[in-house]
Amino acid sequence: MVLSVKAKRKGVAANSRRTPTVRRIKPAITPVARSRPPAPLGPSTPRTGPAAPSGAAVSSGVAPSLDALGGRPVDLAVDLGRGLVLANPVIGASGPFGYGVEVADLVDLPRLGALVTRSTSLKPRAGQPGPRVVEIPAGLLLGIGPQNPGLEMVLERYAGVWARWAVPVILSLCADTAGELGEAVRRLDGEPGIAALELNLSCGGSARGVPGLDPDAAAAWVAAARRATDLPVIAKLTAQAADVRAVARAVEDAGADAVSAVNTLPGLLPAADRRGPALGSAYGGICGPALRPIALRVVWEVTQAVDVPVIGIGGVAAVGDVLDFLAVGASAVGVGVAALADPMLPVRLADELADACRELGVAAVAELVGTALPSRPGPPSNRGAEYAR
Amino acid sequence: MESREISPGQWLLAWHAPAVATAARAGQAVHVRTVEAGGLPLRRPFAIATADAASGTLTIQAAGSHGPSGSSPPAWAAGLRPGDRLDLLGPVGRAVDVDPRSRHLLLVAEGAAIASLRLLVDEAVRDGRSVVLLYGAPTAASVYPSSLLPDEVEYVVATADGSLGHPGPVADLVLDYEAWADQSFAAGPPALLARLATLAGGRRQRLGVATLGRKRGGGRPVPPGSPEARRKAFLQVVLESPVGCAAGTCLACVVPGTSGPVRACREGPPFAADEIDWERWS
Repeated sequence: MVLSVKAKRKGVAANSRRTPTVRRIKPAITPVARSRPPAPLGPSTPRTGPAAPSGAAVSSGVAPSLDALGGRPVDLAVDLGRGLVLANPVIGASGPFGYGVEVADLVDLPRLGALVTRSTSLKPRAGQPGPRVVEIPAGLLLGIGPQNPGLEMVLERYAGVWARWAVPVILSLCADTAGELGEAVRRLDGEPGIAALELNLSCGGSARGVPGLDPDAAAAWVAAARRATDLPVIAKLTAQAADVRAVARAVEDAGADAVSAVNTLPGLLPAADRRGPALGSAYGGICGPALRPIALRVVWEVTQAVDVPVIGIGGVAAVGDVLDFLAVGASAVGVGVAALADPMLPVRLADELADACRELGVAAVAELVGTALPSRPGPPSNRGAEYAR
Repeated sequence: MESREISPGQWLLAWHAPAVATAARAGQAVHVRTVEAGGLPLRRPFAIATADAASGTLTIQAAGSHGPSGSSPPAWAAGLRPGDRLDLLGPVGRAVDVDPRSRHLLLVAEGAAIASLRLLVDEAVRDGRSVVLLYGAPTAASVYPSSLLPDEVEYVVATADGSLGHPGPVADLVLDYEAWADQSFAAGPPALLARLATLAGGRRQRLGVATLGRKRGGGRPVPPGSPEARRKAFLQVVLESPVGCAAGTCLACVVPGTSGPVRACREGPPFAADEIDWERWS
């Protein structure tokens, strides 16, 4: 199964046109100023291979500079386990890209490392009443709720499209119980186009809270998914957990192939007239740059606690943020709310990351992972943050 | 780029954006990356007020500040100079659906929301339709200047304090014109739109006539939200909702519809009045 997943994607990439879905979607939005013309190299041949261009140039007798070819090749590929290999470490995080199809005419999706869908449940959900979004300093408070048309409808509408895409599509799943999650995962058996699953552990759960808070509950959810599929399983952690390292170790033991950190954190704002909360859902999820130091802290702790790859998510808005997440141990980085204002951002970040690697003189992005980590594991943050010694 | 104040605190901003200006149709919006202190992460939606394909110019209306010490354009636009570039996405959303057979259009707007119907005025006049524009404002000073409208439009004003035109809410004027109009379009605060939707719902009974050309029970049923259904509905409303991504993925601009939630940025901003669940939308 490991091999088949990999081989299938390679087969698609080799035969695909550059952006296979663009012509199929009626463009509703025309980007006015494209940030840059399409890159000279297609998505199915990212700048990760051996130095074929320079070899060709030498044989033809003309030697264009490396800059003209996009610079010295940098190995951006990331292996997230169980055959899930990304062409680059920049992922479209769950939410801002919907199911991908909506933005296919706006974003050069094949150049993303992977695309995570909106969180999807077994049954359709209507989401929260409005207002659903409030801006906060350096971020958003989101009260959208997992509004989605249900797993059946999503597979019917999108799975066939995903199967034709070069970009790996990671389906984000949410559920009320571990049993419901297992049922949803079983439903995916034999569905084409899904490269991996991301389990949203900040949704549903018991009276004691969402499963991401408790190592036992989180392990039970991951195990339920693990039993039902051979697809790579990514567990999305929440920074709300008292000891996020314990949760990470529990999901690793339960069979998660990778973990992603972090989901939004609960927050609240009063309405403008101060006669109630600003959001229809009262609580909202804090996301954006305001969340970034928290996400970096969690990635820092989790990478020291587990052996599986970690995907860092939280307020990434510039290539410096990507490098920060890599430095604290993330193997890949998700771009979330910043993509709402700038849909082309993740694609640009992947290019800028390659440039940054050249500037730093590294041949593979993996060399940048974990450079900020201590040589010996430090104390956990739950021993007190600013007061710990 | 050009900006000028058209009424206290309301600014008209013009940009050279040929691709958007050519494609823009009434009801659509642009999603502007405003540069604001603090680096707020979302773009701002603005209705396309006018779009001139020949010169590639489009205008929007935005709130600035107005006080005794003088007035200034919106803070994010104040620092822009002619020649500066602005990041905008558009045109966003669907256009209003005007039935080709409609001769008489009744437009109802209140306050700054008139920008959502401004382009429809130009299109209707160009297509040779008669337009009546009913406009509501708090005082005479804040009324949209008639000099910015084409001469062909019959412009009727209502002010809350009675300082100009009809004293009272603009919805009072609708009954005078509903028999004349073939189709009606409205933009404004939710309370006004809800009242107009109620009025539109009782129109057929009051007038004792069928609406545009469709026999009772005849023809195939049209799905709600389709252009046919919208053309058939007497009233279309252009909603203002906080738009996040304008691509239909963030689901921030969702408004409650009678057959489930609908996105203002993709299924709208214009909707047939009977598509919206007015009790749940405020």
